[in-house]
Amino acid sequence: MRFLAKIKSLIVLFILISCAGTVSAGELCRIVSLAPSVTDSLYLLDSEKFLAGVTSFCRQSPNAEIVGTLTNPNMEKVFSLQPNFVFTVRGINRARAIERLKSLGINVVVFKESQTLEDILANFIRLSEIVGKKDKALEIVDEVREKVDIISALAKEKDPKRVFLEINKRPLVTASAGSFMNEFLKYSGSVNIFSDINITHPRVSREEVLKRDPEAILLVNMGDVRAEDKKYWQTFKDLSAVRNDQIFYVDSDKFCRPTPVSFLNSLREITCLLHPELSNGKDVV
Amino acid sequence: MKKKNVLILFALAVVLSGGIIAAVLVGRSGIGVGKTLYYLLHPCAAGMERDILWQIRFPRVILSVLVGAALASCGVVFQALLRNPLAESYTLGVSGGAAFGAVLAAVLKLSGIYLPFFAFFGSGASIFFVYIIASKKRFSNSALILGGVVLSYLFSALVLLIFSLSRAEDVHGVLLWLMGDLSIASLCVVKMTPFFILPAVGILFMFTRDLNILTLGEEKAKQLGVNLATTKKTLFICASLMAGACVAAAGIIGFVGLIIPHIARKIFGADHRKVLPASCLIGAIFLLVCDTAARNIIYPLELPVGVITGIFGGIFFLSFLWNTKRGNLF
Amino acid sequence: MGILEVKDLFCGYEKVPVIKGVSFSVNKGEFIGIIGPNGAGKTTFFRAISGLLRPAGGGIEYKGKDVLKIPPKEFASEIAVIPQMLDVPFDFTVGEFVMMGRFSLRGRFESLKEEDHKALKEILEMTDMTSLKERRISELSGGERQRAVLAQGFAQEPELLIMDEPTAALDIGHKVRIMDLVKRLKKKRALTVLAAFHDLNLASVYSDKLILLKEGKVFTTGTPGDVLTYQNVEEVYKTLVVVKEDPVSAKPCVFLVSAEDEKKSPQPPFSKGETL
Repeated sequence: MRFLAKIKSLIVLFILISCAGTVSAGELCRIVSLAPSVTDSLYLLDSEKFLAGVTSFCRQSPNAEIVGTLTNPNMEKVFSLQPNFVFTVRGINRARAIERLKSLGINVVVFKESQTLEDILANFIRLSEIVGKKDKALEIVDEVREKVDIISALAKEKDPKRVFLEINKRPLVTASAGSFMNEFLKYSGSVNIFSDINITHPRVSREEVLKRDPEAILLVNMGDVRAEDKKYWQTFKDLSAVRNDQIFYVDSDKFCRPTPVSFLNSLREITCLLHPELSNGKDVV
Repeated sequence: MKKKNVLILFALAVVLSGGIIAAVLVGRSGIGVGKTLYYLLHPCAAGMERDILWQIRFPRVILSVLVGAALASCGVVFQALLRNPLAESYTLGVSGGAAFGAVLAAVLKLSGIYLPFFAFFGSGASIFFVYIIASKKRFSNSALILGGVVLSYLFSALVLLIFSLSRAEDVHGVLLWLMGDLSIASLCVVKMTPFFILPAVGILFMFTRDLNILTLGEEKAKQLGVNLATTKKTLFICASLMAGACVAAAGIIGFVGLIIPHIARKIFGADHRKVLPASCLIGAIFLLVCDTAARNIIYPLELPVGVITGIFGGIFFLSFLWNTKRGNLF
Repeated sequence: MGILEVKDLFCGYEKVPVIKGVSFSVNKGEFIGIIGPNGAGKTTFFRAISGLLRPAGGGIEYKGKDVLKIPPKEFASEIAVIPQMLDVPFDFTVGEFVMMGRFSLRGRFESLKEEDHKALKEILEMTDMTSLKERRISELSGGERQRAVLAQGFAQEPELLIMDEPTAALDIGHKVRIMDLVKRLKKKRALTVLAAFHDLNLASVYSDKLILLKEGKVFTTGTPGDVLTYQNVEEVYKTLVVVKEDPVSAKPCVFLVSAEDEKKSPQPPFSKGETL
């Protein structure tokens, strides 16, 4: 009798310890990230070890398994990883996928798509709160804010440049005032030539681009940038951007996974392109 | 050819020429009519406005004329060969095949000259399969339409497959472009398109009598002396070339190939010696008008031209079906 | 040697043989009628002649050349094939339609000549379609349509006319008119005619010679008088008939006998023990 009771209590003890063991490893242990920006942010927060699953387009981690593509995460795979949190971004991940995950009883955290710098920072802080790294996040955010202000101030001293953002070549699509790309123009002291259009990514006429005569053209063609794109604009000899040789490629990859740090780096890059006289080591912090 | 028909064709040619000039004059980037005419007459002048006219507007107008004529000719050929009033590159899945080819090329990051070739092979594959499916069922109407629908779906699915495997950013642009876009983004395309389209149309003009006879069915055509194998191959290759070139240059523009032949037939009767040139002219005018509308209605924003052709075309076709005699779609 | 020689022809569809060894020859200027029940191989035979069906064995020669080896244009300028019914989904006018027959006579880069327009006029006159020249094919009656198809065939200026039950869909008046037309044109242009018939009497009146097919083989050939005996007809068509001389043409005329009237038949059934 007594021996049996001992065994029982041992078993109960064992169970309790294992539960305690799992809990004590940290507030959470398993994350599935369905957006590259979130994955990158987790790396910034030294929290990549919590990643159990990422998409095929995310930065790969040794612990994390691939759960699918950006548009099509595999529900079963996500579920089987038993995540504590699944991070999604509205606008990047499909609404239906998000709903489906929620209906499976998974704890889905939906971030708003970053349209502005403030959005990026707010999302970053929110993420840090969930993984318990708020202090680190605030540190990064402060630093980024500071540097952005410096760049912005330096750029404001220069004459504002009229810039045309080419998001897509055929048909010609630009990013106007409400778009994410426009943020870079805002902080680098530039003006979007199509800032008067209400649609975020309008399909515009080439004639109007010529008429508005941008001083610089940023080719942000997603994944498809070739010398041909630049050559096309160079045939318009009277365009200010052509006369001053101010047509630049910008790697859209960096813009599609916005984190505070990547924003800063991209801003730096663009500002240096548009105001080359600034890139003399001073602000490159 | 009868006098009346010659006159109407001539009138159409005049309308087209006038249309081209008018289209070049119509624009909302602030260049007045006078200045426009000046720059038209002085192509070597300098200045932004000259660039706008000669490098953006004029090539676009010419492209819309070429593509309109090509799409209409494709429609004529398919409707005759397949003896089906609903045949055109769009409904037959040919455009779908060309689009698949183009998307594939884009995703493989192949540029310039590869794009039309990929589109061409895509459209060729599509035509080939529709033909095989239809020939197994003796070209019955249902087999053709079914074959076309199946292929359209198949290629759409393949395109979606590519989309889902690529990053959204890579293919987003292609998706937009597939809605039809006549604005010219690459000098390569402008230079190459006439080389694909003009010879093909030229060859078609030499086969108008064959087209007439082919409408009587393959058996009768052979008995009347048509070399079926050579003729069919030639016609299909020409149609593929044109369809492929059109998709590579301008994305998918539906309805043109479907409706224009019917309109031409209504005016000129069924003889392809008149229907083919008429379709080319009417198709060119139609697309010219649609594109001019697409680029000016919500200036500086642009509408996909496929939207305009779809709306116009849809209305046209509905009224056409409404007025047509019973049982006589041709 | 005849203008058309059929040698040991074996052909059919997929794995089903329809014609199982047919041989005969057609001489220039003859009007030959091919008769036989459904499935005996008449249509299959015509498809073989047009080169649309590849024979499994044997062959057909036109003027000494295998029909499969004759290039399409050459074939069309010598042989015209008139089907039973032609579907014309496009709205051609009669003139445009008939003119299609001239396709084989002109090269690709040649435009139509004065000669062609003259020929068209003549043919429309001969087939009594001058007033219908501008009418759409779809607006024509069955008889008029078949005349148009015939006119198109004549526009080819053939030497051999092949007709696959050309009047099967027409009423008796049109049947006679079409066949008279064929006979007239045959005479005028020195044609050779090979026609398949369902209607035995029509075949009898118009043909010089008959070929009776049974189950893919030639049962018998000869003049209508030789071929159209009640024994032959009953044997091949498996139905009771009475054959008498036509009072006008003096050619045999086949009268059908309904089951009810069997007992009244003057000619005893030639049943050979089979149930009729």
